[in-house]
Amino acid sequence: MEPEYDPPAIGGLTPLRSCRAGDLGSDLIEKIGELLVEKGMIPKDAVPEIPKEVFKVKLADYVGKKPLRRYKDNWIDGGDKIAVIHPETYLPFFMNSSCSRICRMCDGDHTVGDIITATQAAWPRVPGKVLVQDLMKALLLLEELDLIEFR
Amino acid sequence: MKALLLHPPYWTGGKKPLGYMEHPTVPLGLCYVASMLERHGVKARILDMYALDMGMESLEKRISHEAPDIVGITSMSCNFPNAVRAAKAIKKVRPEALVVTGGVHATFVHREIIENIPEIDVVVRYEGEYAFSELVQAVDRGRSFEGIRGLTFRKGGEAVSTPLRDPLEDLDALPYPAFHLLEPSIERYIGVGKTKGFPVITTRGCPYECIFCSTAAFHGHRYRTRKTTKVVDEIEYLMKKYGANNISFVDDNFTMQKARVYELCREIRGRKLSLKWGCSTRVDLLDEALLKTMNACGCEDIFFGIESASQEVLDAIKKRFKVQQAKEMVKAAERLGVKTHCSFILGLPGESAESLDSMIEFLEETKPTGRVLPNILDILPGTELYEKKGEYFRGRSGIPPADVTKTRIELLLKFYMLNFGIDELFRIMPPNIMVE
Repeated sequence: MEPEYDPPAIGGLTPLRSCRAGDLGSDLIEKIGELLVEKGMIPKDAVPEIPKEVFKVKLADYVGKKPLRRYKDNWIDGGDKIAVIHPETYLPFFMNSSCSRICRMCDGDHTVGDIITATQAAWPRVPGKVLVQDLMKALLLLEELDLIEFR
Repeated sequence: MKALLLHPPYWTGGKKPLGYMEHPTVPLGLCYVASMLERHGVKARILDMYALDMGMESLEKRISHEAPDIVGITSMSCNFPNAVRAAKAIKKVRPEALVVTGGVHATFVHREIIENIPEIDVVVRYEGEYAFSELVQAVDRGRSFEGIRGLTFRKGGEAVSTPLRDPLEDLDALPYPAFHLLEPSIERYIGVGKTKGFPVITTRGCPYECIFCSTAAFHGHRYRTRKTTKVVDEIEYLMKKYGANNISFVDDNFTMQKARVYELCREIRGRKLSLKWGCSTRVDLLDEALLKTMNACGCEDIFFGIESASQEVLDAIKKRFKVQQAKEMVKAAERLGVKTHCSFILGLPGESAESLDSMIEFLEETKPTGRVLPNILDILPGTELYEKKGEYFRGRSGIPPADVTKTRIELLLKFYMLNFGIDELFRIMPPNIMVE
């Protein structure tokens, strides 16, 4: 039986988020920041920019690229799940099982297209659009966390 | 006179490699220094580059805009490279500003800093509240600061140090930390949810001699305490002003004087404060009776610096407690429903494959429900280990750094993967994208 789809996710010991993710907390920061800018107390550059817009990603730009896990010695495969420690910050990151599947294919040989095909084969009943969206989110987050590179 | 207090970021290189930190730790030391400046009528600002996610280019713009006369930069060893980068950025756009650095790292390498980093003009050594405040006032009045205790600066191309000042005896004489100067506001740190957590320090100093730790070297061996009534006054102030309902007592050894902790609990209960709190302490400074009292008074979690689950390693680092004591205390706290956070240091003198395995066994046996923090040894200036590194590692089994890293990952993996689902960790927010 096909396992229940669990979108790829990365967990850590500290609350982090992508620089391209927006959420509630940032609204407050930005409002106060804007107020301080208005009063001339701080320059605009001092307000952290947390864009709320949806970033458009062209699949065609990535589909032929080959993601590769960085810092080979810092990954540990725990069977169903994978964990990694970033060598500069020593921050650990833990992948859930679907993200671990993706990471295992980030070997510099498989393309993003290959990973999409494998993901769709694993969850044939989940709409392809959803799978691709989730997959790209995971890959771009992994890249932002400096854990993979696209070749 | 415009003074700017700077907290440099922790990321390495020129670019931040990781996501945006949701709730950064309040730079408590800078808030104390800032409040001291305010007490003396100095217009101070705090710039927490770490919390504001600010790079060096933004810092240059900010410095150009604000044109501070004096900039105080705090740092630990791990973010000192960014303190230096910040100093260079400041001098680039405002060469006339006096750049001062302080904190644990600078205190112990003060001469090296002055001799090798021309962008840093002065180092404030040890506790900085009074020394930095006096320095700012001297600069403001155009006076020499050569008579101020606790400074190292450049004179005729040479590093000159003034005599040290005694550790601050009356901790209650310090004003409350200037949380109102944090930008954009304190909410950046405590969040906008129901839990509003604030750090409070009630003591300084540590009588222990752990060879890896710089606390005693920096704050002295004498355990200096605040009056419990004054501590609770501060808590009440935070509750009224900011709606605080959760306090982190950030002392190194909160329960060093048990009678004082009982007194503090009585004071909190006597004032009927509805409050949750946590603290850090040693496993040998607690007993079940005190734990119960603390728990009944709102204590929800305790951070233990356990460091190692090997008695040989604990003895080598002069930790002065037994592994069995640590196990019993973690289990006792957990039985009472107090969440325990266990910190370990990997790669200490005497570390071996067996000692690393024993950490995993420790966790399996004690099952702490808080966080497990397996840190990798960083030999800090000011520590006995820094001074006698060769001696401590000579003749002792050492394991290669790669093995230490691997064990750390294994430790984390085993502990967190076995005990927590991904949602019990902090799920990292992915980018908000639309694939076309």
